[in-house]
Amino acid sequence: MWRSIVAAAIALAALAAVHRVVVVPWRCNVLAGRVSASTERAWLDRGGDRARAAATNNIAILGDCADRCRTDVNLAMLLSSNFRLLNRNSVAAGLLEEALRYERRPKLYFELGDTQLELGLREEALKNFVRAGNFAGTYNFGEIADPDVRERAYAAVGRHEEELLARQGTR
Amino acid sequence: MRWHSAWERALAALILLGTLATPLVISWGGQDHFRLPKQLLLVALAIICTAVAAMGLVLRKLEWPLDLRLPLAIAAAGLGWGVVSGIASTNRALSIQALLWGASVAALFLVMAFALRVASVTMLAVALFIPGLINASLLLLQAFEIWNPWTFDAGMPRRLMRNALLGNPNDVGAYLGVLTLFAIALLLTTKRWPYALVAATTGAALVATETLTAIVALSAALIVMLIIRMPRIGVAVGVIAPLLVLTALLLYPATGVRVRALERSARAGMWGEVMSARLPAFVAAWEMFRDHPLLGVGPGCFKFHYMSYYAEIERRYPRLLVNAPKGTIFVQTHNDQLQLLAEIGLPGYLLVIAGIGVLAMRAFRRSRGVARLLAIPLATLVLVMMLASFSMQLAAPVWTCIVLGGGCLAWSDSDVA
Repeated sequence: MWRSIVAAAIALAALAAVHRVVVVPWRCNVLAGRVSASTERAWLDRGGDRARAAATNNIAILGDCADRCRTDVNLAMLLSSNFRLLNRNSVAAGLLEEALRYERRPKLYFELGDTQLELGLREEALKNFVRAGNFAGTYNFGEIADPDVRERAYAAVGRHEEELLARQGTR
Repeated sequence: MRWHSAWERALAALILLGTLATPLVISWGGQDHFRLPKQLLLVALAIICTAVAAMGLVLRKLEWPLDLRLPLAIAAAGLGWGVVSGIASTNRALSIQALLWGASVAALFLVMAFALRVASVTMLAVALFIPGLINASLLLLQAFEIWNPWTFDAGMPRRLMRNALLGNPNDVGAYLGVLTLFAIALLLTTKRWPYALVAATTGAALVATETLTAIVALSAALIVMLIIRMPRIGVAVGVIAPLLVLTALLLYPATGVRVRALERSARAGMWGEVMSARLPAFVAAWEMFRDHPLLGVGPGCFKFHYMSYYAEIERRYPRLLVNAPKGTIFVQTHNDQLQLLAEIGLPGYLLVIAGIGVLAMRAFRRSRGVARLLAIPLATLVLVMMLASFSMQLAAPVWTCIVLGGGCLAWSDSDVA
């Protein structure tokens, strides 16, 4: 009798595990695919009513996934992008800071800097642009909206490059 | 002939189903079309197979064979060490995910070694070669620009457009390398011509992916296979073959361009380019291992620390980065052996190597079957691929390796295919 109970418990546990670690991420991957295309379109029309409606809808679609797949950095970036479309920049910055607890990539630092710039946090934004630039270069610095922060970011990354070249003995 | 229970046959059926489906499954509308769906399928089947095996053992419908106690002990020790490393991890949330993958692979390997006793070599060959030939044929169509089901961004390098149903030519190369090795092993043991056709198709597609790591790994494995089969000729070929492979790589236009570009970069001291910009990742992993030699930084945590270690490399070893392309973020080390050392420390690494060693030991059983011929070359291929790729973190190559490894442990002397 007890063997049958244990076997049934194993079966139930397996079903629950498959749902949690396979079905949920699969569903979130599909939803993220759908939201990704919609977010791209909405950014082309940033500030418009249709973009805001799309962002609201996207957040509603992805909200549950973000809670369940916390270490999925792409999901966090997608969600923060939609919060930015609604000018809810502090929520977007919070999501990006949370994502940096699981993965550190230049793109995340750049996005965080951009969001902080919109929040008026210029010094914090500069730090994050420089973190991104020191690693990945300045290829996207042209997108920094604030000219002063942009120039200072270019200068800081340039100094870092010069120092590295000097240490390498190539300058 | 032993009678096999319905439980054993159910497990074997699940494994054959996974063997057929894993290299083919994609998510058309998903954000990640290729890798994630395959990984999720592997994890799902690992959970289901483990549950069925556990239920069978609890209900006394299955009996764990004595000769699988050593692999079981090594897998349990490896997982135990992974859990210890995960508890001490620098980022536990990431470690839980990585442990799930490790546990899935280890559990599947054990279940395969147990359940494939029911399936013949030919049955597994069919289950492996159907998706293999579909992927190889699609890749050849892409390589010859006859048909490509995917649309790509403008400016995408041509090589990256050869991705079959796996999403990346390196993934396809690793997967097809294992299949080609198996097809050649079957050809040598059975002398049946369809296996020659399979080996030619998968081998040609492998070359078309231009995946140097997989090509080198397959070459090394084939030399080992030849040494096992014909020791004197094998040793001679072992000396000559590397020269022949290099010549072939130089003569084949696509790989020749890559080899000559590598040579130019090496002469110019551009080591960052020679190693496909991977050198910083290798050094970062080594530094992580030096800082955490016993427990590592934690399973799955390499990506979390890479940027900070890169800054440290810039400070301590600036010359390693001369002309290295900037901005490549490494989620994986592109060297599974170094990543294991970095993430789970020396004991964990040695346990994984011991697991591969158990597979190789299968060759020393007194038998004449394909398992004896395949065991050491397969272990060689895996170890070489682990030196310059992260193929052991990709579902299709991993499934193919562990199903063949499990088969090598499962098949009896009479299974000559």
